[in-house]
Parts: sequence; C-alpha cells; structure tokens
Amino acid sequence: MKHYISAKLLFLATTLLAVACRSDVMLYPGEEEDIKGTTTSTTLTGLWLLNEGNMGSNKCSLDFLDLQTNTYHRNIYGARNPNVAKDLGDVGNDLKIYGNRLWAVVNCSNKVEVMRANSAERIGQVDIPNCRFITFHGRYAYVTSYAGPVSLDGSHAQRGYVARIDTATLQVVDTCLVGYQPDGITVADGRLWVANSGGYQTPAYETELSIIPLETFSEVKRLRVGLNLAQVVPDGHGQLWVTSRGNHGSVNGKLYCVDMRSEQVTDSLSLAVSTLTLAGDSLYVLGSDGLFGIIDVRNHRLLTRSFITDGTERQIEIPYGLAVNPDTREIYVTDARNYVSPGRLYCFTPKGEKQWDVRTGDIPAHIAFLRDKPATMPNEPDIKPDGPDPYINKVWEYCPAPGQFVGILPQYQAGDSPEDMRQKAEEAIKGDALGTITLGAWGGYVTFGFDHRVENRTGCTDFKVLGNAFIDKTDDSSGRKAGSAEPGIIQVSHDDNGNGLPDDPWYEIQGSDHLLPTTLPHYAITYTRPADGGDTPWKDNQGQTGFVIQSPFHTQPHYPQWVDDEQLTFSGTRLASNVEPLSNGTFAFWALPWGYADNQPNHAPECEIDIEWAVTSDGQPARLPGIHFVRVYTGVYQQNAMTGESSTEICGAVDLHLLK
Amino acid sequence: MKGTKSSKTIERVCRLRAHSFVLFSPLFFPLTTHASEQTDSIMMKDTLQEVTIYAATQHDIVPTQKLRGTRLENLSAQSVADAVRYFSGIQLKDYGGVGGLKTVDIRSMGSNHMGVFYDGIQLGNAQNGQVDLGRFSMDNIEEIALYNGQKSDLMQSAKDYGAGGTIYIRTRRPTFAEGKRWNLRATMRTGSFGLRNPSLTWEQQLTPRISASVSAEHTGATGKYRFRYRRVLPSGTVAWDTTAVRQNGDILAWRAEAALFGQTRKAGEWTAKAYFYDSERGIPGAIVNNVWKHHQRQWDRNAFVQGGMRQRQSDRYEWKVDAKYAEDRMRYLNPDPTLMYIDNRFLQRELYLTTAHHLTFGKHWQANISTDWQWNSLRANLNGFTYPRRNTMMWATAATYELDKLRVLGSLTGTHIFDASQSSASSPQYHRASPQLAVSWQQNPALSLRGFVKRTFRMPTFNDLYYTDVGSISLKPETATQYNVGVLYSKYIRHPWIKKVELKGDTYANLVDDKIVAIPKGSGQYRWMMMNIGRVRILGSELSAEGVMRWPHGWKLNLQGQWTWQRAQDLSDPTDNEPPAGTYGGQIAYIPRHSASATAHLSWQQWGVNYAFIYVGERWHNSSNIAVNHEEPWYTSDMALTWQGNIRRVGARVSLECNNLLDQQYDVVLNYPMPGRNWRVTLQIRI
Repeated sequence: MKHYISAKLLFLATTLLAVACRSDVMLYPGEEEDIKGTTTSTTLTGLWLLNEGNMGSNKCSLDFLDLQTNTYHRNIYGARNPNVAKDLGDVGNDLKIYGNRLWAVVNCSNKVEVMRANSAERIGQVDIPNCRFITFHGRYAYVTSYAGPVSLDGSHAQRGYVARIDTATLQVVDTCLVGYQPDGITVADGRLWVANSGGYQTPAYETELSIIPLETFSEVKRLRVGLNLAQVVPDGHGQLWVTSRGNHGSVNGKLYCVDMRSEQVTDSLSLAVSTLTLAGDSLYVLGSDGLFGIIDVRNHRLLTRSFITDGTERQIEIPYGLAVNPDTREIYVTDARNYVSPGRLYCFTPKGEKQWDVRTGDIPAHIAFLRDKPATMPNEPDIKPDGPDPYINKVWEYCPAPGQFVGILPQYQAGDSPEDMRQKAEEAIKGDALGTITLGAWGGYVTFGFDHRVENRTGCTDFKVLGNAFIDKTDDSSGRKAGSAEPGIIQVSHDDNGNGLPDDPWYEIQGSDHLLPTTLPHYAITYTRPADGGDTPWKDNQGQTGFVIQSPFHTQPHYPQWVDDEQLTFSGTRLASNVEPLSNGTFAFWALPWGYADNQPNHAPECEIDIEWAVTSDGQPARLPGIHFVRVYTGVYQQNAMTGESSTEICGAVDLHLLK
Repeated sequence: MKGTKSSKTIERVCRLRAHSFVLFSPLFFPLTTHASEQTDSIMMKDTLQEVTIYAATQHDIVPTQKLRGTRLENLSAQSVADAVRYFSGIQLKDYGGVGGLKTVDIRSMGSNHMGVFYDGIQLGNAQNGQVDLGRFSMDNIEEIALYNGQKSDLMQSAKDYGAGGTIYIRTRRPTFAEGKRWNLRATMRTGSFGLRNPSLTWEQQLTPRISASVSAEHTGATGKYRFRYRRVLPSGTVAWDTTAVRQNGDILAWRAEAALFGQTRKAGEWTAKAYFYDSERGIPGAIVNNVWKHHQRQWDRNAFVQGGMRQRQSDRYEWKVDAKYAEDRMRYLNPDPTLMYIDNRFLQRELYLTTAHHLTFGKHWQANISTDWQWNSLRANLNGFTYPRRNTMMWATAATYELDKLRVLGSLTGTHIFDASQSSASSPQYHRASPQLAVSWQQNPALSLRGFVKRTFRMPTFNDLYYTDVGSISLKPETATQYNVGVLYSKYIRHPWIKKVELKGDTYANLVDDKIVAIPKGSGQYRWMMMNIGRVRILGSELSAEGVMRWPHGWKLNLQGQWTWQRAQDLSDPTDNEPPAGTYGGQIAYIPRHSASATAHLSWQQWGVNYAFIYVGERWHNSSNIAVNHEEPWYTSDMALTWQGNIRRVGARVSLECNNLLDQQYDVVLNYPMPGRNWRVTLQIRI
C-alpha cells in the first residue's frame, strides 16, 4: 500500500510533466464557410469586412466575402501575411478601397495598413498616431488623427489634424490642423469636410465641421453644425449629411444636412444616427432605439424606420456596421453583440428580408466592396513552386529621368552609385516583392529579366508588367476609364546570342495608342542637372524646352543624384498626354486601352501583353519565339499642376503562363 | 490566531484527536521534525507540544489549504500572489512583472467573491473590489491560508461569514528565544528585472506581556525583461518570431509596518498595527501590433491602522473586538499623446468596527454572534463624479454541534448596505441574508468526510454603481451558491522511510447568478454599462496529495501535488448557442479546465533544494471557445537552492533561485507577456 502510494505520487508528477506539452503556437490559418443562401448577380466580386476587436486584444481582423462563390473567409490577414508580427493590430477604425489597394485604419496600432485590394497582401503601412478615418482624392489619401500638438497651457488639450498621404510612397507629405478629435472625413465639392467631435473634451464637445480646400490644404472655415460630430457623407445633390452624437445625456444625437455650395446647415432630423451609408438617393441609417432607417436625400423624408421587414432586427443586439450593395441594393448589417464575443454579418434583400447571416470576428464594423477579381491564395503561403520563377529575377539597368519620386522610390542615400541604385531597384521589384520604383519623367527606363524564356504562345497574352495604376471612374458614354494611369512603353528582347545578357536587339510593344497621329515616334529629350537644385530644364528634338517642376511635397533633388553626367538624354516614342483638367481643379488621367505598363490596373486583362505585338524599329512584326528581357520607359511627358509630372511606376512583372 | 484558543478547546481537541491526522498535518511537520533521528514516539511527543499551539486551526470543516513556515519560505515567492498559485482552485490573473497587477479568482466565482484578510481584518477596495496580491511582500508573512466557504473557527467577524472564499494573510508575530529580548532580521534580494529589495525587521520584548515589531521594506525594479512572440506555419516553418524588452514595468515602493502585541492577565490578547505603503509604477500595457511601449503611470499610497482585542471571560464566554481605519490614495496618469490624456486621482476611506461573541453550552453546543459596521467613501477628480458613501451593517449568528464523529456548523449572515451619493437618482440599499451549512464526519483517525452549502453575495462596487457614464445605479448584488463535498485521508505510517501520506479530494458545484458584467450601451458608440446579466455554472474537482519521506543520514524529501479540474460554463445568453462559437455553455474567460502544481523539497543538513512546477491548461479569452480565442497551456519550473545555518551566533540563509527554468514564453492575460527565465539571490541574516 505504502509503496503503491508513493509510486502513484511519482506517477502523478511525471505525468504532469509529460502531458503538459506546449506546442509551438500556430499562426491562425483563417476559416472558410459557405454562405447558405444565394447572392444576386452583381458586378462586385466581394466585400471586405474589418472587425475592430476590443482595445488591447489585438484582434482587429479582416474577413472576406467572395460574392462569386458565396464563400466567407474569416480572419485571413494572418494567412495572407504570415510574416507580419502580431497580426493586423489593435482596434480597426475604418476600411476603404482606393484603386487596387485596400486601406485599413488601425486606431490603437497607430497605423494605416495598405494592402492589395484583391488579396489583403500587405504593401506597407503609414504610421499615424490615433488615426481615425480615411478618404481619398487624386494621388493622396487623407486621414484624420486625434494626436495633434498638445496644448502648452496646462490643459493637455490636443487638437487633431488631417494627414495627407502620398499613395505611391506611403509617406505623410503634409498635415493640416483641425478641431479637437476629428472623426469622419470626406472629399466633396473640391474640399475636404472634417467632422470634429471633441470626444476627449467632455463636456465641452466640438460642434463644427472643418472645411479644407484641396489646393491650399489648410482649414479656411469652420461651420457650426451640432454637438459632437461623427460622420460625414456627401450625396449626389451637393448636400453633406453629418451625424452628431450629442452628449450622451441631455442632448440627443441628430442628423444634419449641409448645403455645400452655400455652406449652410439646411436641415436637422431628430435621429440619433450611429452609422450611415448612401446608395443612390437613399441614405441608410442605423441608430439607437432600433432605428434601421432610409432617408430620401432629395426631400429629407424618413421613408422607413425599419428597412428590415421580417423581424430579424430583434436578433441584432448592437447594430454596428452598415453597407448597401450599389448594384443590387442588398443591405449588409453587422451586429457587434457584446463587443467581446464574435459578431455577425447579416445580408438582407432590398426589401429587407434576411438572406443569410454569418459569424464574423469581434466587433464587425467597416465594409468595403471589391470589384476586382479576388486573388486565389495557396493553402500554405510560405511554399513556393519549384521550377522557373514566374516573376522577374534581375534588374539590369535602372535609369530614371528626373522626377518627383526619383531618389525616393527607391531611396537614394548620399554616396550611392548607379550600381547601388540598380540593386535597390532589383530588391524592390524582383520576385514577388512587389515594391515600387519610379521611372521619372518621359524616357526614364528600367531593364529587367526573367530566369527563363517567356514563351510567345499564339492566341493569348504572355506576360504583364505590374504598376500602381488604378481606375476610379468610367465615362458612361465613351466607356473610357480614368483614375491613375501613367503609361510606360514596353520593349522586349530575346537572348539571341544565349549569353544571358540583355545585349540583343530590342523590339517595342506596339500598344493601342502607338499609331495615333498624336504619337511622336522618334522623340528625344535631354535633361540638364539644375544648378541650384530647383526645377530641371529640358530640351527636346522638336525645338521645345521646359522644366520638370520641383514638387512642393518632395524636397529631394529630382535629377538622379547618383548620375555623374550633367545631362541625360533619352529617345523613343512619346505618347500624347492622357490628362484632362476637370472643372473642379483636379485632373482625370485616362487609361489607354491596352499595351502599356502602369496604365491599366494589374488585375485587368488590358494590362496583359502579347509578345506578338512586338515590332521592329520600322514597324514590322518581330515574330519573337519568346523573350528574356523587358525594358519599360515613361511614355508621356506632362506636368499636372500640384500633383507633379506623370512618371511611370513599376512593381514587377510576371510570366502569365506560369500563373495560369 | 496562534496561541489564542482557549485551553478547554485544546484539551478537547487533544482528547478527541489523539493520534488523529491533525497532529501530523503537513503544515507543521517540517518544522517539528528537524531532529531527524528521533523515533516516532519522540516525534509524536514533539508534535503534541506544537499541537497545543496550532490545533485550534487544524480542525476544518471546510476545505482548507495553508502555506507556512519552511514550505512557504522554500517557494521563494516574491509576493503573496506568487505563493497562492500553489493552492488548488485558484486562478491568478497576472499581468506580468514585479509591479504588474495580480488578482485571484477562487473556484471561478470571480475575484470579487474573494475576501482577503490581513491579520484578521479584511482588505477592502470599495472602488473596484480588487485586491492586488502582488503588493503584499512575503517578507513579513508567516502564513497564508485559503478557505473555501470560510474559516471554521467559530469566533469570527460577520465579514468572514459573508465571504464566498477567503485568503488569510498572517504576518509574523514576535517570538523570542530563551534569554533574548530582541530579534533583528535583515534581508536583501536582488536579481533579474533590476530588482533591489532590502528589508529590515526589528522585534523587541517590551514587557513580559507586550512585544513590538517594526518592519520596513523597499522594492525597486526596472521591470525590464525580454519576451518573445513567435508563430509557426503548419509546415513547421517560422512565420514570424519577434523579441522585445518589456518597457514601463518599473516600480519603486516602500512599505513600513509597526505592531504591538500584548497579552492580558486572563488568557486574552490584543494587537495594534499601523501599515503604510507608497509606490510609483509604470503600467506596462498590452503588446499589440506596432505598439511596444506604453507610458501610463500609477501612484498608490495606502495607509491603515488596525487593532483588536480578544478576551476569555469565562469557560462559557469569549469575545473579541477589532477596528480599522484605512486611507487609500491612487493617481493614474496617461500622458501618452496618442491616447486621451488622463490624470485621475482617487481617495478611498474606510472605517470598520467588528465585535464577536462566542458562547459554549454544555459539551456539544457552541455559538457565535458577531456584528460589523463599515463606512466607505470614494472621492475622485472625475467629471460628473458623485462622491459615493456607503454604510454597511452586518450581523452573523453561527452555531456548531459536535457529537462523536459528527460536527455540524450552521450560520446566517445579514448584510445591510445604505449608499449615499450626489447622484440625482435615489441611492440604492441592499438587504441580503447569506446562509451556510457545513458538516464533517470523522470516520476514523485517518479518514474524514465533509460537505458544505453556502450562499453569498458580492455587492456592486462603487465603480459598478457610480463610475461616470458606465456605472448603473439599478444593479443588484451578484449571488454565488456553493456546494462542496470532500474527503480527507491523512495517515502517519510506520515505514522505514515513508513517514506520511495525505490525500485530499473535493468536488464542488457553484452557481454565480446576476453576475455583474460590462455590456455595450446604445448603438455603435463603443460605450459600456454595467448589468446583472451574467450567469456562470461551475463544476470542479480538486485533488491534492502529499508524501513525506526520510532516509538515513538526514536526507528528507517532501512531495506535494495538486490538480484542479473546472468546468466553468457561461450560461448568460441561452440564444447564443450555435456551435462552435456560441458563448452559451462555453468555458468562461481565462479559466483552464485543468491546472496543477507540484513541489518537491529535498533537504540534507543545512542544504535544501526546492523544485516547484505549475501547470495551467488551455484557456480561452472569451466564452466563445473558438481557435482565435484560444490560449495555449503554460507551465513553469522554478528551482531554488538554499543554505541555512549559523555563523557564530548569527543565523543566516542564502538562496539562489531560478524561476521559469525552461524559459517558457507565455501570456497569462492576452498580450501581457510574462518573464522568461529569471534569477534571484536572497541573503538573510537573523540576530
């Protein structure tokens, strides 16, 4: 008995040690679930949902609903970005798609995360302390932040600001002070509208909107609206809808309507609205007291207090996020439930009947619709296929013309040689690094190669050059698309002599606009190093002269500093300008139909290149069996006022045969 | 309290329990058997002498766990929080580091159901109900005891009777060797985290009946330690792996205590104590993406004076009276410009009086009547603060009946709370009664069975009720109902080297109802309010075992192990029951199903090696027990090597400790990384 007991004790101790195995903590792989129910056909391909996660939990997460397969992917950021330490971050606060990028504002991680819109693969981040909401215009993103300068009067009050972020470089290029604790922000009528909340100043909340013209980017006016402002949504009638939260006590929340032309508050509705979104002329609102309303923005009438018609609203504990499919008018409502347990996403028909609901992450809140084709991801993202690399493996030359990002993309350090810069360019765009390099103004180029021959297969496209172009508007009558397009001309070369070096004849890809009368085929330009570090003078072979203007946002010399020569001469084909000034002082950059780099979005078929299009210098088909090397040079010369000159940006290139 | 039980009780205990297990309780065994060559009979005699001191607290109807003397010393705990981890049924919520908040939860009922008593009087925190056990240094502590239900000692305050579970921290009482009138003890601890922890205790015999003790301690630490987070892919390749240094975990604290201990001429005693604690610390905060350092600071200044007297008037009547006045100041500063600036100051005051009366009727019956009165107030520099004040009246009546093998204890406690505040709403009042029934059966000297049923209430704290914007004045008290059955087997063995075996097992069911939880308020505005909507059902089992072994040449080995199984289910929202993510029926946050600890102490002459192992099984951050909320098990091994002896007439003790020997990287609370392997050296001299 006694021996038995002591043996048992020892057994207990050893078992404890043995069973107590702590395995390596696995990266959370995400989950998939089929949505039970059908989604009406739509031109949208999916929607992203940002779950805020409770403060300190680091459980901000991204879910994706694939509208083509009706599959719900939960918490996929980790699997898509397995090398990012500590996941997406703490407390998501806003989510938007701009161009082909997905921008998530992660409040308590003090950053804006920039990802590919079709895959959530990380591109980079912008550090902005206590960042809140985001909007876009032209090549800039605008983010509100609470964390402006601290008052020195002892009150510790801290004004907020709007950060202007260059979407190409992900750098904050300027800031503009606004009121206390700014939240919602939007661009409308050529101006930024910012809702100041004063949430840290209880009970002295803010009451005003800040109005900031885009040209000057400084606050020119405050417009008094209501207590503790939160969200701003412009409609198609020159009106801005503004929510006020009230003071959580004697003053209730309200919804205000502002006429943007006259800068007057024209109406106020006694609705405590927490979330709102516009679809056509219908403003959908969520609010306390079970408000699921629709307001007609033309006559300000509340059409219904409950757009949910089948009683499902009783299941929704804390209605939190709201989105309406612009094509089908299906309504998405999220339920934050108790804030600490997983929430739910509900989908309703336009008539308000529940179609399906699905579990989300914690505090599901912000929704962005995707139009691109979602990228399929390998199950285990760290395994690369054997065999030839579908991406380029070498940059041979990097010779940009002067430009506003020269020396930034990639970064020039004093003393860098041309070889150093070549290496940096290679690091940025080789393989699937998908960084960004600039080619500067017209003529600047990069030469890169694959580790194998990209075959010229008949009847299909063969490769594509990746850039950062995107489309954000379509001209309905002509079908032309505009957004950010900075076309670069592509040349290709086959390693005829088999020495592995790009010393063989080059052939130009004849894109859609090559044969237009406005295209100059034998163009040449010479840039001269500016004596004073200011604007860079140039002279072309057409007898024209001008300057590459020094950008006010980029202070580095625009002439490549690693080049010893005082002059840089480039020659090739110059395309006509693709920019058109608009009435509101901004520009439309029309995308050319096909056959160029950094012109159409990377996912678009129009971005793909058929080697069959390569021509000899006298315009005859080159009939190449395949190619080994690619050169891209900036194809347009144009100065676009404050947004600077157009310069092609390259992120890599890919052999389409190895992807399909 | 030691040496305080009436002689009659002692006689009775000795009569009833000669040769019974209580004489060989593990807790004093190592103390009393240092002369290892003694025969069993001699040892028994030795032990009997000790029993006259300790027996009073040995007879426990409810499950009891104690750490004291050498065993406590061998655990090399820095604070009371470190030590209580070795109790079964306890979950320590530890935010990591020397200065990190450490609170305990007993049998999953929530930390507010736990009463923590310091020298017999409860440590209160009317503001949030939390007592940070990390602040109570082990330097001056003689015993830590944990009772489920409450202490079975009859003469207690009503507060004792009203608590769901209790931890008793008892500070050292001076004892003087023959011919000595004073003792001096000086200790220096240092090691990892930039720790510097000197302390000094002076004990003086003033008169034959009065002694005094003065103790002071300083704790300083940078709180810096390396931590590592790492994730792997299913293929085994590392996804990411990052190491950083914990920042803003520094602490600077002072503690000073002075006490007087007196005995009356007629088997009575009195104590008076003053306590002062002052600290500044950084709050290291959660480690989240892109944020590796925090800047929040906290200052605490706690002071109290307390005193009490107990006196035996006759064979039939004994009484005690205790009083306390406490002032707790706290300042919280958030200077981080990326967050809202906060500079909050709080002042809590507490006044407490209790008196208990113990009556004996004949051979079988004893009774107790006690009444408490407590007054609390809270001030703060918050906007819209309502300056709450609270009057608490409590009474308790209890009786025990003993007959041969049976012992029955019944008690009824009443709590009457009257709040006042500047709030416009009417002030709440609470009137609640807490009944308890406990039974024990002594089958034979080695085997006893026991059981108890108890219902207690956890009153809403000032924060629950009045915190600006969050508090809700309509709250009800939280209810906890406990059922427990257990068995204890403890036998002293005539065996060449196994001396003792003890096995303990308890199974319990607890139901916590009207649980006060924070829930979202309004729509989509990220604001909270307190509500009585929680409901938790806990089923649990605890097993513990102890063995004492001795070999020739003075080798001794003491083994102890405990294991706890708990199924603590969230029954708050029956509609949220869709598997696998539904919260209904899910294990509640941070409660592992399995937890265990084991210690082994091997000694030879003046040398000792202690090994301590703690295991906490998988847990979830939320009642939704899905993979994203999952937390891996953790386990740590701590080793200590000690030497204890005399250099001339000075007693000395040196110990070298290595904690978390295997350098495990783990979180007890999500995103609060715990220290990896760390070291400590302790040098103590006693004159």
